Amino acid sequence: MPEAGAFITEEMIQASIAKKGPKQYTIWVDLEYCVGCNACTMACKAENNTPVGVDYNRVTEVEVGEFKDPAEKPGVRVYFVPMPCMHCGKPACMAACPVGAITKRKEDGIVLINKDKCIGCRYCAWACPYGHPQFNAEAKVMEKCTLCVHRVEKGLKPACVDTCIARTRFFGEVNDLTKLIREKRAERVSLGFIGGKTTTDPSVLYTK
Amino acid sequence: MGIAEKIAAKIINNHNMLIETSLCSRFRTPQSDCSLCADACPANAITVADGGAEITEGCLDCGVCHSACPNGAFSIRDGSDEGIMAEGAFSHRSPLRISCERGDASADLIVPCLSRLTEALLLEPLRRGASGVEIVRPSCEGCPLVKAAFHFDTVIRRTHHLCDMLGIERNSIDIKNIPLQGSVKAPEKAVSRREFLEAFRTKATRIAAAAIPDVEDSGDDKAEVFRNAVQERRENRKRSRLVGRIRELSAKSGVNPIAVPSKDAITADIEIGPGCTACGVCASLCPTGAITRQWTEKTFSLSFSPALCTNCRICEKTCMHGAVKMNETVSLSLLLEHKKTVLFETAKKTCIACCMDFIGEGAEICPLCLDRNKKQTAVLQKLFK
Repeated sequence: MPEAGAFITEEMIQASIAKKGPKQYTIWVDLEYCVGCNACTMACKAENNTPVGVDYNRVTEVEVGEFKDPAEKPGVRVYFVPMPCMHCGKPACMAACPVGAITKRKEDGIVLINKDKCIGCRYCAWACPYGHPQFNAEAKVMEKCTLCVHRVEKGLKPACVDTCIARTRFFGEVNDLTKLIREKRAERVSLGFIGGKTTTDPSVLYTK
Repeated sequence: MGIAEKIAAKIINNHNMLIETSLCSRFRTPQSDCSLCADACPANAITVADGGAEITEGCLDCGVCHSACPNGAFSIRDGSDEGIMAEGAFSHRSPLRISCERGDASADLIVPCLSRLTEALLLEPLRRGASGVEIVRPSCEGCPLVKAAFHFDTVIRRTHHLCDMLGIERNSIDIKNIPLQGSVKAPEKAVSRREFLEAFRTKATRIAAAAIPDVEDSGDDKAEVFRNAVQERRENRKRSRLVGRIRELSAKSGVNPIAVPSKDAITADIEIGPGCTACGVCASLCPTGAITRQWTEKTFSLSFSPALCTNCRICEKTCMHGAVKMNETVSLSLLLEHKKTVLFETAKKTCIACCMDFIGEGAEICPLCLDRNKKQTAVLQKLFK
């Protein structure tokens, strides 16, 4: 197990925010240690006050491997994959929005929906390769993970990262996170962007 | 902005041209590439961006933008179409002579530029019984307003189409080319310093008085939310005027079925294909409210009023599923239809996963939920391959 919160420090986040140039804040999830407890889902719901049916972070389960020979060790396991917004480099949702309500912020790479503009047509949900944006039936607008922009602007980490009981989620600038993964985990883990190199250039990192 | 600056800005930018932004295609969707007003503006005083068209410095108050905008987003404070029609110049002379300010001073109607003319203005004398309209057209080469010249040809072409439909001979609207003249505008009276300041003071007081409630309001509530602004439908007065004229003329002379190519038409013939997912984007973003959507207890339907449609093609451009199709040719008699036509009607269902209404065959789960599930599975499989 990695040491609690040892990889990304407040100083690194502050230094990253102070740096100039196009930045991409994102989340790294080490799937090796995710136990599927859904604490991130609940922390997100509490932080963002989302209604029933709208979750900015959903944890999906994937069964991997096959149980072949009872004499051998079974090569089967379950991975839990938390799926927040990928805050893509080239967001498909932004391109699809007919009213230009979705923007990608230059200063931190966060993709946001302007709720004053959104007409609730659900084009973004159709366009997103990860099916992330969800319809808020009460407000009649689309909603999505904001990477807790209100916390990030204050120099805090997103609620899901802070709350993770397995300390398996990390937050930071994408280049810093990549460097960290290479330093700390190079021998054991593979580094993968979800979906590989797709056209939308997703930023969330997963290792297993 | 403080009150003083607001008032000063209002005085300085007190144009005769007004914009109703909610009718502007560019305001409604960034996917619109409409720049008809900016293309026609002879003074390059209009900028179009994603927030809609805006009048900048240098506006000549010529009114060409009013004629160029199919959605009627521009209106003119002094010298509107109604104002010109009410002046009475139209009722007496036959044929009626129209000229621009660089043409014939003896004409019955003198407009700043011939591109200011609209289809409604050209049909109005005929409605009042004039035998024809004679347009005195000086050569546009060398005129400072030459940039707007192409729009005049467009208006004439469209008016000729309407004449064909109404059984009026095309040469009732006749163009007489002459060489470019000097300005025929009545010479402006010399104004004394005192008169000038007095006029300025009166105007400034009026505008300041009008501006103050505005300033008080703006403190209380936020800028109008875009979503509400697009739902509010303003009347396209320019179109109402034209349709009124055409209906009256058609009652007199009958209607010939005329089909014109879609890119030249002032309305559209729309069909909804099988891809429709009932998202309602076409209805939400239509600037004039020509497409409307209805959810009843059992059905979903889209209706269309061709008389309101300005062929701006926002519906076609924004439909993600490519369900909106424009026919290549348009029958202009569609403009005379009073009723809405139902474009599309189908039974609605409620999704058991997301509890939203949807349309589609078979399944109890909406196509979007199915699509989301399929995409997530595909992504995870790829990750663990």
